[in-house]
Amino acid sequence: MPTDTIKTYLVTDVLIKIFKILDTHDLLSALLVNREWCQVAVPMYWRAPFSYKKKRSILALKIYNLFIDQKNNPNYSSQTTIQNLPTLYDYPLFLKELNYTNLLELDKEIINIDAIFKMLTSRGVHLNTFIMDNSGTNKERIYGLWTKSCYAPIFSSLVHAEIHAPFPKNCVIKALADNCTKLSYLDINLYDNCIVRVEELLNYLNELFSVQKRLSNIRTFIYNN
Amino acid sequence: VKLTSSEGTEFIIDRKVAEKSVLLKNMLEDVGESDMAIPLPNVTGPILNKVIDYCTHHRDDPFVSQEDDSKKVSDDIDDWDAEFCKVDQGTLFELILSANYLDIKPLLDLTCKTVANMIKGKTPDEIRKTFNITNDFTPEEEEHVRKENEWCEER
Repeated sequence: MPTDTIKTYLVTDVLIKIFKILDTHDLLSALLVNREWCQVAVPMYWRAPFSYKKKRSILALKIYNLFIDQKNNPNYSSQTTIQNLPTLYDYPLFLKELNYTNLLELDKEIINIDAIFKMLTSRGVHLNTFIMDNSGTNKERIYGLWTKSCYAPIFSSLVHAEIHAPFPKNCVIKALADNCTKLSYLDINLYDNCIVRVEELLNYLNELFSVQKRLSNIRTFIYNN
Repeated sequence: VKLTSSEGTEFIIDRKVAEKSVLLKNMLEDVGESDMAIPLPNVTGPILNKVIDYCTHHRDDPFVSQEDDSKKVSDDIDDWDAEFCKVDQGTLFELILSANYLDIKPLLDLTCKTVANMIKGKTPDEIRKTFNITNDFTPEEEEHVRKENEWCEER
């Protein structure tokens, strides 16, 4: 079959449907086939770079750091044009699902995590899914880092949130209540042993539920109350 | 229900079979019973024949909603469906487009899975050979794409 035959058949819509079935390894092969396939596969490949294998997350972090370093470059202008991208594609822009715990596995420096979130905010990234696994250790300051109000735009379109890490969730619930109205799935561990904090937490929870338009699937844990 | 393919061939099928296609189902609901043939200018006779085969075989399957995006595993294709997909690439791609146009989700899933299976486990070069695709990257571009995306060289 000549090349142009497949071109007329496998239009972008159909390619997306096919690529969705592929695992990341096969998606990577598809991405290297030609320009058109690359164009379709790259956004899917970079949708959730921190949700898979560690090697992949390390590469993603390396690429993200190119975007962060670029800001420190004197020739940098805030206008994003093809010319001033440090890479072929605007990879951070495709981020839709962030596994925050996996990101912290790679870098626990507050200053570096801050830089990543600053970069994501300035590029206009909007997450769809946010996940914090239960990694067992309590690093309250860095766990709650993403709830800073300056990063709010990243979370304004959040639909799916899973937060299993054990740390006081007042800042989390407040941030979700302030920024998100489109949550449809929320699975959160609200364990806390400070009764005063829990009272405040319940207020924020009320506020959170009252602003949600589509919340249909919810699971919360409060062990001590 | 009467259908006409792009070259004007007429097909007469059961309403139940036709309703596998969400497009036709909606049309029939809007128009009601009618002797008028429904023209399908985007679908050729041989392809429409295949599509009708599929819909007839699966006429009693429960309806799968659009939202039901359960995990798609590509090895759960049954024998009849696998046999159905043993066609040349041109036919397979036309089936995908027709399933897309007629809005027959299970057929679209099946044909997409079949193509995905043809991609699985192959190197980029093997994929190009399989589908006869020309590599239009410049060598520098290809090197960039590889460097920026490759996190694991060995399979």
